[in-house]
Amino acid sequence: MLLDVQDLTIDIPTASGVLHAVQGISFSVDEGETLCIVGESGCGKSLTALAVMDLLPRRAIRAATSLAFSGRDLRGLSREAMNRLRGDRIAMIFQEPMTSLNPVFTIGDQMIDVLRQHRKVSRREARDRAVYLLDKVGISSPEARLAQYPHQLSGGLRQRVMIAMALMCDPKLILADEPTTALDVTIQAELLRLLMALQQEFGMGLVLITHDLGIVSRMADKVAVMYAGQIVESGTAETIFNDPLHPYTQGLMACLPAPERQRMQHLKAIPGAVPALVGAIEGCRFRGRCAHAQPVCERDVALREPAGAHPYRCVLPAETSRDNARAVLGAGA
Amino acid sequence: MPAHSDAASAPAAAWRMPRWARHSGLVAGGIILAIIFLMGLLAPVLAPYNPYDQNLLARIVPPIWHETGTWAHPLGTDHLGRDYLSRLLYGARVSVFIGVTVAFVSGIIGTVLGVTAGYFGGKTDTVISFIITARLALPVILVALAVVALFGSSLSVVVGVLGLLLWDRFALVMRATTQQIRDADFVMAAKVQGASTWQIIMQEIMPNLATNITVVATLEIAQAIVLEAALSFLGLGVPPPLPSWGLMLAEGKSFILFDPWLITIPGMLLFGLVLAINLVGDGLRDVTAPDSRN
Repeated sequence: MLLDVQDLTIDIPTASGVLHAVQGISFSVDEGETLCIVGESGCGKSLTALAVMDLLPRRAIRAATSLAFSGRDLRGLSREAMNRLRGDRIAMIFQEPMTSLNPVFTIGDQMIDVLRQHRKVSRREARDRAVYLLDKVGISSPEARLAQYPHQLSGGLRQRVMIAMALMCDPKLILADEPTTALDVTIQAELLRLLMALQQEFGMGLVLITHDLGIVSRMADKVAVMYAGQIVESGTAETIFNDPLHPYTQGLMACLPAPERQRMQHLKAIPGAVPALVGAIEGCRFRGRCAHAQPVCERDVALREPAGAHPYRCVLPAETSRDNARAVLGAGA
Repeated sequence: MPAHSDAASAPAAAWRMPRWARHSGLVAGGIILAIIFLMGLLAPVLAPYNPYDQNLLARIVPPIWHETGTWAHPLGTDHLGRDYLSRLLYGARVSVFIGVTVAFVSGIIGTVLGVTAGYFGGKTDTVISFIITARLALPVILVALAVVALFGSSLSVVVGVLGLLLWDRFALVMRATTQQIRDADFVMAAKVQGASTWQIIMQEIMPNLATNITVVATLEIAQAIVLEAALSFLGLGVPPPLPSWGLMLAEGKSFILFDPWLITIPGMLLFGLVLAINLVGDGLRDVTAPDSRN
């Protein structure tokens, strides 16, 4: 197991009470495997990635029964040990390529610095690796690009540079936090293909955080659907897409535009908004927006895995859920 | 002036000139500044007389453009018969030395405080902000007066007082800019790449502050020179007979009605120096801003 997270909880004290940003989520990633964490804004996806990196905001409190990378417990690591791990064994790619590069250094300097931070190599060798990786991520004339400043590159190119930079130390795990959200759709597709190819070539684990189910369907081996700080459904990509059991997952899928849908028909939306996560919260987090809410939903719902189904967090029996799915998504589901 | 013809021929060759050379303010300021620096540096070579030598037989000789001026004293002599040109040359040393040293000392204090407050925030920021506010409440002249009364006036006292008092602008600007940069994505990216706090401050934050530091430093050099002149004018700055432009203004003030050149010549030089420093500061800011690089 490359990354094993069990029962991760993130609490952030605020003026109006404790914000329960992430409430006991568990997931794991193996080498060469892609886990997609899906959810809407504010559900705790990004904080989860930062928690793995130990880069949460200072006030945030992290707790977990297991937080292990390659069998090594990350919870007790000193700041220095964590610094050595970050960027070397675990790399991260951010959403905003326009601002993720330091504007006063050339991209060559920045790439070389990352490698020399973690490895005893000469500038020459580091430069060679930078050229090799820029070429790998599909940047033409990499030698010339090394001498350029970030503002001279387009958004797509910068994100390629960020990917190349993440690969400098040959990491085992990449955390990609919405890596293509800020880019236009054609470049998104290219970059995702690139990311997938690189992942297979180097045998890395990939945690892809996204709100885009289209990306998930193309990239994921495993999927964890998050809602309001909890995982509401998890399983392989196939089971999630063919057999969505949680009303939230079904709702997300119903929102996707489908080719067979009639012209001018409105796109669906899930009514309501994400509940506030401040203070004590009880019951199913989704009940306020759920069409199948019952009095029993007022009580906390556990993530359960009945026979013949994958883990989901709902009181409805799997069969009832499947009937609902057919009703919501049509015969195709 | 040969420098002028250089500037005039610049547009013709603009496409191959480096960017800093195309900024006319920077070039003009740089030339004036270079001349004044060279004046100070080469004062022992250029000065026709010892700046301290008095000649009571040749007091208040007017400069060469007056009817009674002589080439023996191109800019005349002061009320003690000291050669004015020699004193101006040596005075450039004092002014430039004070300006640069004060900006250096206050720059280090202000930048350390500002970056610390801006980067760490929280209680650190509260404490340092309080120190900055306390410093802003102190009138410089009043403090200088008190210190001079205690320790007497000397060059090192002036540098010390101004250096310990003029860091407020550095601190304020660095604190504000650090706060902006601290939350930039590339700082988070550096953390993700395993950089320590020290590395982030030195490699991510400081290089992005360089432009601001340069601009504030030029402003502070100019302010320190003017303040030194003001202090010397009030008799709190460098003690006579040291040749300082501010002191020369002070000594010339009693002759302003009949021999105004005693006050206008050092006054013009002071004006030219401060103007040149400000031109260079603005020019450097324009040229070094990363977004306008090649």
